[in-house]
Amino acid sequence: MDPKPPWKQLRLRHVSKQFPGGPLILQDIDLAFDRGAFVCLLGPSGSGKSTVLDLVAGFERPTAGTISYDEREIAAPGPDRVVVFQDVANALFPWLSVLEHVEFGLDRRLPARERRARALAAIELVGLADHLAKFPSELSGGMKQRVQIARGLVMEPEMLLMDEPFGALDAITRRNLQLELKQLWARTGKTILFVTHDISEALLLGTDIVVLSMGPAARIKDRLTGPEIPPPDPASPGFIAASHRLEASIEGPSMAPALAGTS
Amino acid sequence: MKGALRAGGAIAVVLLLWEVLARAIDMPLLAPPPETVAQSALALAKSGELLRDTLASLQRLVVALVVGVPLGAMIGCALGYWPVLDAMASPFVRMFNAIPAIALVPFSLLWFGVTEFSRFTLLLYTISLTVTISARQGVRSVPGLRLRAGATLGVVGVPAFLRIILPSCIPAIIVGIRTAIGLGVMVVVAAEMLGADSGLGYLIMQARSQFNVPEMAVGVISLGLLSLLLDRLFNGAIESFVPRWSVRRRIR
Amino acid sequence: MRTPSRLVLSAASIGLAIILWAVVAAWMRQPALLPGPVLVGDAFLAMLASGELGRAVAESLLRVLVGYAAGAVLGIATGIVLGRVRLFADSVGILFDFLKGIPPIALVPIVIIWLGIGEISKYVVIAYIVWIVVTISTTVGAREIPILRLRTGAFLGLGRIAVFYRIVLPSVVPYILIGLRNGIGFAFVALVSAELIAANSGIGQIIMSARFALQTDRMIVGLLVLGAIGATMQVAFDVAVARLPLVKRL
Repeated sequence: MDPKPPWKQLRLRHVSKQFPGGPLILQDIDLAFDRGAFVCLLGPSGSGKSTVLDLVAGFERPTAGTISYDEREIAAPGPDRVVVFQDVANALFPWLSVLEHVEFGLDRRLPARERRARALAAIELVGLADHLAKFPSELSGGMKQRVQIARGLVMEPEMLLMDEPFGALDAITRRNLQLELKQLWARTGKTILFVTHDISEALLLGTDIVVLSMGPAARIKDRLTGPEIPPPDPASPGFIAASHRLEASIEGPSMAPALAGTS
Repeated sequence: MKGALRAGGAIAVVLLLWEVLARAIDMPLLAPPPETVAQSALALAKSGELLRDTLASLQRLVVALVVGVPLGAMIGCALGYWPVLDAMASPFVRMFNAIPAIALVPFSLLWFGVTEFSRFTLLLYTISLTVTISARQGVRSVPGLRLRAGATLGVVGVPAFLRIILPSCIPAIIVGIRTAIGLGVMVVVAAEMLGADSGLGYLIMQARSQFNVPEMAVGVISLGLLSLLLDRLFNGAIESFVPRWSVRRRIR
Repeated sequence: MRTPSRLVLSAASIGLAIILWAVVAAWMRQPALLPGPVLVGDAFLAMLASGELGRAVAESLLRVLVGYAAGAVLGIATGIVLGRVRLFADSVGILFDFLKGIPPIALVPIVIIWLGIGEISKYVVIAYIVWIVVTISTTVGAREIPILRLRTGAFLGLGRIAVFYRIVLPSVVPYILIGLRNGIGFAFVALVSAELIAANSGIGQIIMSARFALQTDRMIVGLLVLGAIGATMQVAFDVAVARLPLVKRL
């Protein structure tokens, strides 16, 4: 891996976002991340966390403040910040096979063999090597998400932006993909910005957890970094404590005391 | 509001283009500019002909709809519900559906002459057939799950037909009515053009025999507006009277 | 007794209907109004043998094909432009709803005055209605491309032309196909409309002239043949489309 440059990779300075004729979605968001961090954006539905992702991706521009990537302001979407969407049905192309999907974004001027080789490597990483010729209609939800991930990874991005990617999957598939994603992150060292409303998912995956308040005018309510992040073991006291803390940040006093007498 | 402005803008642009083209062609008898057509329309309106003919066409359509829609719905639901009936009727439904109703105008004129009855029968046939096909499709596509759900609540047999199947196929019937209106306009105009003494189709043919292009244009434009009006009115009626089936209510 | 299969029932029903037809026709004894199946069969064979039927079918089919092709190409182009260019998409909707409400037959007299009663008029009328029908479907498809697909193109770094050819066009194809399918029926309506009024050749002419000559048997042959080729074209379309590799994936 290259040595880390001294500046933060992603920096949001006093970012606010309001859609024309709509309410203020985000207010004064201030964040900075290092290269290689796995940042989880946590918040209830309607907290504008997807909007933060859209801003970083470059699909939207901030109404106030700046977002800079490697100290340069973000102007437009690009293959250095690939996106994995939650609504996988609409994010994939029904007319392309798995292989064609992953090759889709590669430079057409590269020789076909080179494109195929890179695509195959990315497909290997996500474990879809046996399904190269399948079309989205033949894939399960989990497999579709893997296609999205591979499609993004093949571009050799610096950042992966993931918008509740496992939200629509069943619990078992979700767990598997969470573990695979963590391993992938460890191997490739990419920076990941991961939006979720699932506290345990955030604790299992993140090196950095940012809690957004409820919208409108969502602000950063809490942040866990470094030593505050517990080991990814749901049974450990550190994990449970962090869980309570995050719950409190999100929706008020924890339910734990009320439930204590019931089990 | 913005939509109305845009639509108005589009109409204005079209009128402008029309004016420019008419001037460029400079054959006012063949390609009349908007003013000439407007004058013609005014004259027709004043003489009462425009209203009379429009109402005549409209009346024919409405009467046939009032009779044909329930008839078609009943037949269609019956076909959808009883497979034996359906198997027997299916070849004929397909055959009649394949023949454009317009082609049957000469046939109905032959049988019933140039009479209101012949126009009515043809319209009735067209509308009933269209609604029958839609209703049948609607009944056949009622999810079996719904009937099972009803059965668990004790709703079976005739009550099931009335309370589950009929309401389930109303969206399909609504689509059928919409299609029937469009086809009905086509058939009524064709019938009027080939043998009638009133109606917008007749107006166009009259104007044709006098080589009066502006009047023909008035007839054509009136038809377009009439269809548009009927379409919007129908959608509005669905919204107001049976909003639970209106398309707009569906969650996107 | 088990319910006989659909096929048997349908066949029995057809047989019964033909018998009923023959009985009623014989009882009415007015071949000018209702010729029996034998008369119609004879007329059919006669028209076939003389080549009259073949000629008429060929002429009508040619008109439909030319008009349909022209209207379809124009419709696809128009629909894509209307769907993708924001300015048009919002304002032209009502115009097309208006145009769609004008029955093709109402246009035939004006078109004939402009272009005569020859082939061009018929091509124009057919192309016109197909253009409208295809445009309407295509516009919907071009307008409703899932935004996530476009965003995917954006973050992958595709240029605007690439996005158009590789994302927009494939996304619109299913809608185009729907429009093309609908267009077939309308094309035949337009064909008949034109041939009934400008009746110089084709199946419409057979039907029309049979009316005046009170040759109902020939009229019925014309109607049945018309229905047959219309249905055949629709079936042919469905079969062809089902085989397209692109469609198999959708």
